[in-house]
Amino acid sequence: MPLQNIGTGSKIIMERIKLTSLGQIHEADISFGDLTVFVGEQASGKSILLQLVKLISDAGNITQTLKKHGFDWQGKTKDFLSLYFGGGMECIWDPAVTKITIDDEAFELDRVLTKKGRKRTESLCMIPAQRVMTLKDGWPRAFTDYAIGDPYIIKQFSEQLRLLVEMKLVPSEDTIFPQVGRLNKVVRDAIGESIFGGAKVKLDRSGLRKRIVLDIAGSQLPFMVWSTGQREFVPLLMGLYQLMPSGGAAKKNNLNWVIIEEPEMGLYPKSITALLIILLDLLKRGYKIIISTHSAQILNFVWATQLLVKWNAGSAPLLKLLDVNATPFSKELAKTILQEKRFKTYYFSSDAKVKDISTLDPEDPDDAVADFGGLTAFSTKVSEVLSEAIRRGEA
Amino acid sequence: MNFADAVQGTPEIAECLKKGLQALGSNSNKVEVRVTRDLKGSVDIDSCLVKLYPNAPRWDYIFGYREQVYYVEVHQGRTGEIDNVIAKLGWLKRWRRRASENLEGLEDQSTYHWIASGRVDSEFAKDDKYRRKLLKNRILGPDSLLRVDTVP
Repeated sequence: MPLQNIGTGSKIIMERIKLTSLGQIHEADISFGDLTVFVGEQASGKSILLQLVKLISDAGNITQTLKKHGFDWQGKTKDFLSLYFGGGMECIWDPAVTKITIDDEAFELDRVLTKKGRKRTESLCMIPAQRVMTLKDGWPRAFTDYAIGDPYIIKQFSEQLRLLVEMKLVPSEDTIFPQVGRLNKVVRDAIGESIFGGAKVKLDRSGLRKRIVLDIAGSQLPFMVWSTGQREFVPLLMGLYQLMPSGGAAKKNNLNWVIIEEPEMGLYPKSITALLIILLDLLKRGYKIIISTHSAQILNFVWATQLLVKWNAGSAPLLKLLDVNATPFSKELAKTILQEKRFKTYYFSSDAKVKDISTLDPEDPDDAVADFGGLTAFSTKVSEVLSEAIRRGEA
Repeated sequence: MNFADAVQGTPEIAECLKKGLQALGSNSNKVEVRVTRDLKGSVDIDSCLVKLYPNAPRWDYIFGYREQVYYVEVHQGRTGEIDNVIAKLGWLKRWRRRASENLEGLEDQSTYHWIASGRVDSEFAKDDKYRRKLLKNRILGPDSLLRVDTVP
């Protein structure tokens, strides 16, 4: 990416990011795929790195948004870091040792923050892990409802959802889901069946209160009585609506990247399969996606898809994997994924390094690769322990 | 080319072609087919090639059923044996590439199966690296019984 474009929201390429000493991460060298997956233990730096990618992409838009809501760091980078990453997080970035390069060019935060004449458009949509907090009271909270020390990412995402519902960017009949014309029927059906069980998600503006409800055969259930998975998924779905415009457009012009933290949160495996279809749809629309995950199912999918590509197996096995019937849309989707899209996977290890485990090769002597960065390590242990017990005659 | 012709056109094993599943001997009861008359013959590769390749990790059997070719290794069903079974498959494929253009040509109709000798005494988790290791090498199993008509 040309340096002058960093943070401007211009169409960015950003193929590679290298860094040393940022928060828990000592060293990382990441080349992005069309879909890039981060796995690793809690507090291993995944979220920090994802927020950094957002900052690199959209610094101009971020500073403008903060100022618009009355935040002023008065030229102090440390205070900006506190506003952006959250209170107390300013220490993750030590100007003396933190080094970041994007496509072999240095990223200098001070310079980016003070640069004049930047474009302010946003090119990356980040859906944060704390998304359920945005609908805490059944309606998206405003940017300024959050504490000053809350991360920018959650405030901004929440504000976007608020604008989405306040500005009636959802159709006038106030149905958030399902909306004909918003997602392809294959995707709508997968979500409707596995996550909402046929119920509708609606905006209830009756009387003085505004709230999002789940409509089950006329009964309207408030947010707090939904299942955990539904509560997690609705803000994610609303975030996706920004990326999947109605009216036939494949993607929103200014947006090129999507980051979703732990998209599987709260979802049952069948619902995770529906989520995978959504991710593939986003890829087909031309977005580059980065996700962090603790789901072995997602990694299994990535591994299997890579093998299907290698084996030149065609679209049918991929559709079967996704429980999707062969329709013109689904066949085209599978074909695009298998022929054009490439996946990368990185493991954030306990030794503070970020390791490329993209092959996910079960024969790799490194267990981080063979066991999906630890996500299937317990299953492997089960096999080993039971086999050993059988051999010893304990079973 | 059909299975029997492919075997008979392979000098190193042509003489070892047996009817039905006879080549599998007592292990034939570990293979179940719905229509026995659709069996196209079988070869005990291990015994057939022992003199030519005494120290090689030889694969066990091959048989034909309808249009398909089934390569079968009867082996202890333990996670610790996975690398041995994969090594045998590696040997089989190298041998086939060199000795049997005919069988090589039937690769698209071929599947590879690990049948556990005795009971399946390994509890493979569905989601572990061992299971994936086998799948990566296109080996199905280990199973205590190969139900041929249900192979995908």
